[in-house]
Amino acid sequence: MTHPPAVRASSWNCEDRTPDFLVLGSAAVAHRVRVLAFPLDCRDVDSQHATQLASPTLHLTHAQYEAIVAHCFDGFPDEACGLLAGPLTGSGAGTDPTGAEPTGEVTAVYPCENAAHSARVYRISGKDLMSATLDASKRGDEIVSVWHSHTHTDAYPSPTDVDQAMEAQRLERPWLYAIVSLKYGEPVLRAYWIRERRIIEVAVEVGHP
Amino acid sequence: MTAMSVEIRLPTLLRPHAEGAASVRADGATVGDVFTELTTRYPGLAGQLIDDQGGLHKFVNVYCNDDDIRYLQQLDTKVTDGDVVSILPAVAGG
Repeated sequence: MTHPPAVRASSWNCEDRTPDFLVLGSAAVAHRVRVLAFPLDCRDVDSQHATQLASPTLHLTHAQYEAIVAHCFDGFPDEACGLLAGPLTGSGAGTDPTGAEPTGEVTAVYPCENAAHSARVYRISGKDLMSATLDASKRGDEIVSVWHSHTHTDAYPSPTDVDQAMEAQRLERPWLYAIVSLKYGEPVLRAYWIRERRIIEVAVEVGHP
Repeated sequence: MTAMSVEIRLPTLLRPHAEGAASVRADGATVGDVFTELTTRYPGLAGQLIDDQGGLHKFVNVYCNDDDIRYLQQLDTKVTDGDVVSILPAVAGG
């Protein structure tokens, strides 16, 4: 088994950190989740890999990261899913759909119900999408990313993820796809562009102010 | 039946086909009627929404207020004055 060579995986290996623990999750299922509380420079252990990643860097605060991971554990054994809001670059925040991309900043995390109630697939209901979109627009932002968990596979887009991304991009500008793998002892979060069926990894920074 | 005026909210990539509008108004007694008026006014939208058999493309989700019309009467779903019809992508994966 090859451990994912992601920056996030390196982050977990910062041996000078005493891990902090929190109990997260529903009343029925409590999970011990190690909270990411490493200094930013820990992420540079794998900086050579990081420099090969595409832009933008997805910036998550600790609290945002924890909200995502906790929801993924809460949803286990089913896949869990949600959305992220943030600002766009350039003029595309208006009517030009091609002139803007996510800056990578995240202003809100929306944990959503997996309407498919499945360990193999996820679906975000239109109601959840509309609610998140409305909330994002109130702050002048847009939905910039969708995230979901892989319970038994790596944090890498599946063929189904690619197929669905292509369909979504007939109606919406491309979003960043963040995936949390629960395959290993610790959660691994990675993020990607999926464009014209190509999968392009982007950098993720956890601990952004 | 009296035609009802509803708001139709468009996803980002369909807006250029509707002069850049994020939402437009159209009349009709059903979602199908409303889409007919919409695609007559903005012909570029027709192929984006409706397939060769006259149904919705499978990648297009349409909500009438909070309800997915696939679980109602699809394009025959009735609308009333002030309803909001939202055209949304399917957000899903595996």
